[in-house]
Amino acid sequence: MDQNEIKAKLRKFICNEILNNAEYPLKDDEALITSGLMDSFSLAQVGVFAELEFNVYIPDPELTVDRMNTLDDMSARILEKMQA
Amino acid sequence: MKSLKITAPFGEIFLRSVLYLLLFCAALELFARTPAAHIFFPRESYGTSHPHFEVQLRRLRDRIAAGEQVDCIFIGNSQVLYGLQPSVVEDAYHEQTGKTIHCQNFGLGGLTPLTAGPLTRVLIKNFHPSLIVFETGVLDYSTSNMEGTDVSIMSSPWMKYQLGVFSVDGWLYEHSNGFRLIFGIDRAIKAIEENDTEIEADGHSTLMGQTETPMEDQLKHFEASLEALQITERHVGGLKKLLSIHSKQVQIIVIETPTHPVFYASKRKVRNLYPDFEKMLVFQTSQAGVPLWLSREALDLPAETWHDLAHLNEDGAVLLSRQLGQFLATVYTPPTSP
Amino acid sequence: MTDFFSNLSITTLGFFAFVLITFGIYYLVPRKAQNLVLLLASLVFCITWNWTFALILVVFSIINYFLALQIDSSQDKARLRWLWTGIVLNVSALLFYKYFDQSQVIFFKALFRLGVTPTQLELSILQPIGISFYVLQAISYLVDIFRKQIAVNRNFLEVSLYLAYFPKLLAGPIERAQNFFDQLRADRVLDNQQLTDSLLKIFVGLSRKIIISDTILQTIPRGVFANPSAYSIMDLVFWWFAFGVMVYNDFAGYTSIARGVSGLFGIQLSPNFEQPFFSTSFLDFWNRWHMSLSNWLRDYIYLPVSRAMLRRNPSGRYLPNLIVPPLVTMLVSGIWHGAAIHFILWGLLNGAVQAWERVQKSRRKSAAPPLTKWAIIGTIFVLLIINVPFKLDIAGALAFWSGLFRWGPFQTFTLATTLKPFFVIALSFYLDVKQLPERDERGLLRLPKATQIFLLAAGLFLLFLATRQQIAAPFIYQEF
Repeated sequence: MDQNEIKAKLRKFICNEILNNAEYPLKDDEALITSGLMDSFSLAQVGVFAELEFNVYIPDPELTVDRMNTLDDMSARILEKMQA
Repeated sequence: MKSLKITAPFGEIFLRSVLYLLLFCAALELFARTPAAHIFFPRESYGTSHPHFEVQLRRLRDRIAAGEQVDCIFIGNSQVLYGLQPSVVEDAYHEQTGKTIHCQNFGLGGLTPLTAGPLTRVLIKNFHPSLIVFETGVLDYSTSNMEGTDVSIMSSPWMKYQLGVFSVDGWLYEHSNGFRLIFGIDRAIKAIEENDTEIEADGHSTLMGQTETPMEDQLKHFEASLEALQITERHVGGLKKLLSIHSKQVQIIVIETPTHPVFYASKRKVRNLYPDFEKMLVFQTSQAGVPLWLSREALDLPAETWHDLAHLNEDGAVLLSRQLGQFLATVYTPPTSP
Repeated sequence: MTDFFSNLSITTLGFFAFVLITFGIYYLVPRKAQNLVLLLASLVFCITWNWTFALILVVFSIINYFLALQIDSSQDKARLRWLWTGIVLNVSALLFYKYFDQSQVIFFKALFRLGVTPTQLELSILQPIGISFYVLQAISYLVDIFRKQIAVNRNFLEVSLYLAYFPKLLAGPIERAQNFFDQLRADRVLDNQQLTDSLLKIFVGLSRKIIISDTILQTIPRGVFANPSAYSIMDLVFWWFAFGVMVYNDFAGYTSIARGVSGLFGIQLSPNFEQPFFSTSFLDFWNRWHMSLSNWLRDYIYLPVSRAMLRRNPSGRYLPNLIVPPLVTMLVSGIWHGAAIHFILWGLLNGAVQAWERVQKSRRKSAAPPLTKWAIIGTIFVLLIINVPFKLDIAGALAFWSGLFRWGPFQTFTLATTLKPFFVIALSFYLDVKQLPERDERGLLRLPKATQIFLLAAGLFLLFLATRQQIAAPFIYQEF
């Protein structure tokens, strides 16, 4: 699985489940948390989604704004964990 | 020292701000020493939280600064502040002896014997009176009452400085007019809220109007505190310290605070307090060789001369002051001016 | 002299003399000995309060040092067992010292009766300074090792310094082990910029604490909180707001001084406050207020609870998933702050508004952020109301809240009582506005030079005046 596939799945999950708007045109480098689109509480959802969907565990201290603010950030981190 | 890499120039902003600050302080100090400052900022602070202390000190300083002489200072609590009028005392004294004395009232709400001694020392040191009149009543000897006054005066850095405990604050309060002026502003703002009493140039104040608390409530309040009252060793010790100041140069005289007639008809426990208290006063003053004037023997102040159960009104104050002047004539001779 | 160096609180002259002495020694010794200097200084700092506090700290360090080694070297169930041993030990020590009325212990009562001077004894069984803070740090260290997020530290000096480091001992910030260890090992250079930053933080911190917070503390009419039913809504709202500004400046001021002092030794402590009065939501507030505690709670309570629940039901709209984690987290926060029912109520209320916020958000379509200005006002307004039990017990809080429905005049509105609070509240917001762009004190360094000089001179003057007439009141957060 490459980063783009991860990104596609993440985008679908975030738009459907967190933003409640499947049509939202979420860009790869769009700030999710600092812009107020989603709150940092929702990162727990992203963390569990990564566990269930990609079978990787992102430790709690890494579920922070500065590390998980954009689709790029998230997908890179998940890929990194998959390859580890 | 490898890890310390501080290079010049450093701290320019800091040094410049300190420089400007020092200049500002110097300008403030110069201004505070002009007569204009005295007019625009009539209050100055000595670092106590007591509403009367700083005003009284300023009144006394002003008199001395104006070249007046002060022979006699009255100290005590609010019963002194409202109950003794220096001009009446002076007149009565003059009638009896033909001599002139100059008196200043230094009454402070809530003053107890604990503070009277140190305060007297400080007043003598600064203003050189030859007579201190201390008016004291049984209510001054209970712990339950006015500890706040003692604390607020005795914890003042200026007072401590005067008593030999050095502190930067104490030094500044004594020597810097600017410092007293700045905190005087603070005191003036607080005074608005405290609605404090107007104190005359001679240090006395007049209680106006009727008291708001009904007589029965006042009586209940006082009887309760009198019933629980026990004259403490600590307070008597304070009195002793004051009496020990008595000397040829500076005479101490004690007068008993007049008591409202209602208390003599009160519960037995309350009535009995007075003879005990008087016995104590007689004993302590005779030990120290200090003249004592027991007000109960000397005068009977009718109910209409009282503002409330603790304080005389203006008529009462005149009566008491006149009698005090007459008493002073029998025990005190002012030193002949050099 | 002994008085000068006793109970070194962070705004005393004694403390700054202590820092200066430590600073001198620190930069004279070789790099290798610097950490040791800091540890010794920290223990001396502790002893200025009470020698038993230092002893307790050393015992804590030893126990946690060995627990960490045990967790690291064990596998599976044994590993988990050691972790729980550590958590239980740390938490029970906290419970004992913090929530347990030790004067009621029969042993101590007997000692009192035997004539042991109560003052000495009372002090030695008092809550050791900073224990609420270093217990959290110890727990996070053990958990991080258990989760294999950090390597175990075999250097005892570093582990004990992590718990004892004096700039943060009294009231945090609550540091993470890895970040702190990295700094202990890194090269240390104090250059002009570092020194400027540190001194600026100390200056801003002192101003917040002494000029702003202490001034409000002295002007709040005592009756407003002791007997709120005697006041009307106007008084209660004004003074409660002033109290909020006071607590903020007290704690933010403390943190700023702690970070500044630490910066002098080349160690950067975490930020704790980012202009919380400009929060746009309840969650945003907790990301700006006592951040090191919020982060701790997020990593060790909120996220584990939240994830455990999501694993059972991954839906982001499933109500328990939205409600339970914030409630549990804020409840723990309440209990950590104090062992009283009103702190529990405080925690639950804060948890409840966060849960409400989450539920709202989960139902909204791709959140268009609300109007910032109104969001800020609304957030602060609600927070002020629900934070009443932080200060008052249940009965007091109820009386206070019912006072908010009592219309009437502003009784305490006199020039004398409100002039100073108005001035310092304005000052607090001025500092915040200047700090907003960079979320840091550094914004002040961007001001024109003349303004900087004026602010510094005025600040020094006010600090001088404010420290003349009273001894600074102790920090509120030190009590937790």
